[in-house]
Amino acid sequence: MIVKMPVTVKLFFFTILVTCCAITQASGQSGKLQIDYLDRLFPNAVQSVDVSVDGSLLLIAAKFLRSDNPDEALAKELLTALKGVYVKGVEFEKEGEFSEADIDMVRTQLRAPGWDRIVGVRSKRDRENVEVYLMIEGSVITGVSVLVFDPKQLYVVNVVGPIDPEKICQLRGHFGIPKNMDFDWSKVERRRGGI
Amino acid sequence: MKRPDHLIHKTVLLTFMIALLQTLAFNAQGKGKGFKDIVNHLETKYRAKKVRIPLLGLANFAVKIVRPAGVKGFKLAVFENQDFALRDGDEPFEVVMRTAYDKEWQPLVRVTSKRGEQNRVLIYSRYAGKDVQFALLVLEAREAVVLEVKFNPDAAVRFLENPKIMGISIGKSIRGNKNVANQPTQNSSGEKNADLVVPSPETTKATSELGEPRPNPPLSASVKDEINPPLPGDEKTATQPVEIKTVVPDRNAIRIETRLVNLNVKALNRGGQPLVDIKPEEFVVYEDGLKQEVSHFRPVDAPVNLILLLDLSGSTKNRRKAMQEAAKRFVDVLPAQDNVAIVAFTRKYRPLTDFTRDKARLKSVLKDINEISGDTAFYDSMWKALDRLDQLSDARKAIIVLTDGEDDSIESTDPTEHRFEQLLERASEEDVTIYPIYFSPSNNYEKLGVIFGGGNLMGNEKSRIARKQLNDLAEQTGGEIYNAQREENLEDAYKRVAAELHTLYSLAYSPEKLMHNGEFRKISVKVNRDGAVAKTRRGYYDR
Repeated sequence: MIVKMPVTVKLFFFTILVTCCAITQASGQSGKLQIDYLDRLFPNAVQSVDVSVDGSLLLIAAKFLRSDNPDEALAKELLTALKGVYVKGVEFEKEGEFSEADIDMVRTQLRAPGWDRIVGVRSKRDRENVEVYLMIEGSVITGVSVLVFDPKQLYVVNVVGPIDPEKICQLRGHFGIPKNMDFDWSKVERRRGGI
Repeated sequence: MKRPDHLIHKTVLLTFMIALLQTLAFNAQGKGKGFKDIVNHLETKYRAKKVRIPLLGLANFAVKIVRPAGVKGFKLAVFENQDFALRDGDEPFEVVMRTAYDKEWQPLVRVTSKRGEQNRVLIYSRYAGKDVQFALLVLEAREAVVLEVKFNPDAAVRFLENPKIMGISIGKSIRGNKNVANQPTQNSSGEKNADLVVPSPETTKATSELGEPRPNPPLSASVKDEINPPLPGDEKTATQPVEIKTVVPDRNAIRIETRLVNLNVKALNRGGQPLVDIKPEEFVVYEDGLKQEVSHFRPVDAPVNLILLLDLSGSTKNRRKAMQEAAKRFVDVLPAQDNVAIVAFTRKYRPLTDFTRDKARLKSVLKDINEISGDTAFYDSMWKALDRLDQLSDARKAIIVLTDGEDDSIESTDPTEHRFEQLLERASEEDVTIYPIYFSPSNNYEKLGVIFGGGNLMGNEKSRIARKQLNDLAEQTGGEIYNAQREENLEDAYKRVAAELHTLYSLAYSPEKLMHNGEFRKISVKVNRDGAVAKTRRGYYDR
């Protein structure tokens, strides 16, 4: 039950949230997107998010996970390998505050060699779009990017570093990763060239 | 001879301690320009005063000496019950932080929300050898926390493994048992939810109270929903199911479905007096007779977001002065934390202010309503007010509408975009409580009604329909209708609404089953206290 929480408690929750982000979002500088240009949208946004967790900080976060606990060890391995987790997001009161060009600047980067779009969802009803991209080098995923937008919001998530989907699958049911996530990653269709 | 020696020894020790304290304090000041600048900024720009925390200096000194859990020092300033509300032209806090902290400090998290509690969170970090420093600034409309902490991660890990302070063990490992896998989270466990993933109440609770942006997505096809977990007060979750089907090539699919039903609830004693001390566990919520688990609770004194909707159609023109004065006094009696938007309507919906706590601004716009006049699109204006409240993340929402309720559609001469039935159906599904203040038509209209009444709807019949509709809106949303037949009744009506607003608790639950059959789900709330009854909206349509 929620009663009004003191700010210090909220701070604690927020710290947990940041740590969880680092843990649940698995994430080589080669896959790092240039998304700082989105900062110019911040002043008019009713809500803006900018998270920038570099490899050193992820290493520190990983130190807090035990090696002798199977789940934590897996998460630790994932975190230790990551080079960074970057999120930018803006939400507006009304439509038209950002343009197609703002989205295209991300998409253009995601059309570069190495990036594959694996998920694309478009809702005509809500005008929401979700696109998930993987950077694959050989047989290794070295980056994940997620682009979510509708006429009033735009979020870009960029996880940089080697990610082993098998390990993430092993973490199902823990750290907020759905238990019933049942991907056969070997069957993910690769579509070169983005959209 | 022994005695003076002992005294000298003590004096030397005391002098040394004082010198050490001064040195540490000096060092702290010298190195802590960033922290000090931020606190100075809050004190000068917002004229805020720090909360006095007893023995904070001693605690800081102790931390520097003992270094518990690897923490080598901290600085903390807390501000409560101050006015940190966002103002136009304010310098962004990123600029303030950037000026206060040099380039060795890197931004880690920047979150700004202009909605609800206006949360602003800035976290910067800096590496200092084996140590890490974090600078945190958390600002809300009424509170602020500035924290700077330096710690050694390796020492912190050692502490978690083997909690000791100055060599004295203070318990078992904080990091839990070895070799035991973590228990599944509430989110993903349970056969009952074979393919159902619901954000954990704890997560939702934390994010909701923070009013923070949503957590970032994990690497999964469920990424969309993880970005937007349902929050209490989010309209998409309050009354409509969030259902996202994400399809990846080759038959793999994850379906995520959840819903939160928000309720504003009033508890009354036998005498009909509001009860304002009900504890969360005393509420029991039933949906179609089935007990539901209440996952969120907010007390009566939590801030309310409300739209003050003023009918400025021709029928109210003769009473503008009384309306202005009563509305001003209403603004005055509202608690400072309530967020108010003033909107006028005729045939057009005319926002006069956006949501603000600035009472002076609210009252100043009321001066300008004299020039507005026109026909009445009451239903459409209510619809737009609901649209605006939908955009707020906070669940405590209300509309106070001062009107005669006589929409042009009643006579069907000039139908408006929405019909009353549509408005009522929508209102009954929203988590917005509606308080109509029935302001009867001006005398001229009444007279015309008497003259022309009978054959058409002008006059008494139109008023009767309008009044019934206002009553239905209040009843369906858990609100109350107030009469202000005479100008002198207006002020009293507003006062009663202002008092009534803070007799509402906010509860939320996730229904056990979602059928999507369009049927009405009846909600009832009981209070486990002798003679107490609860009042809330009647239910929602399961679409």
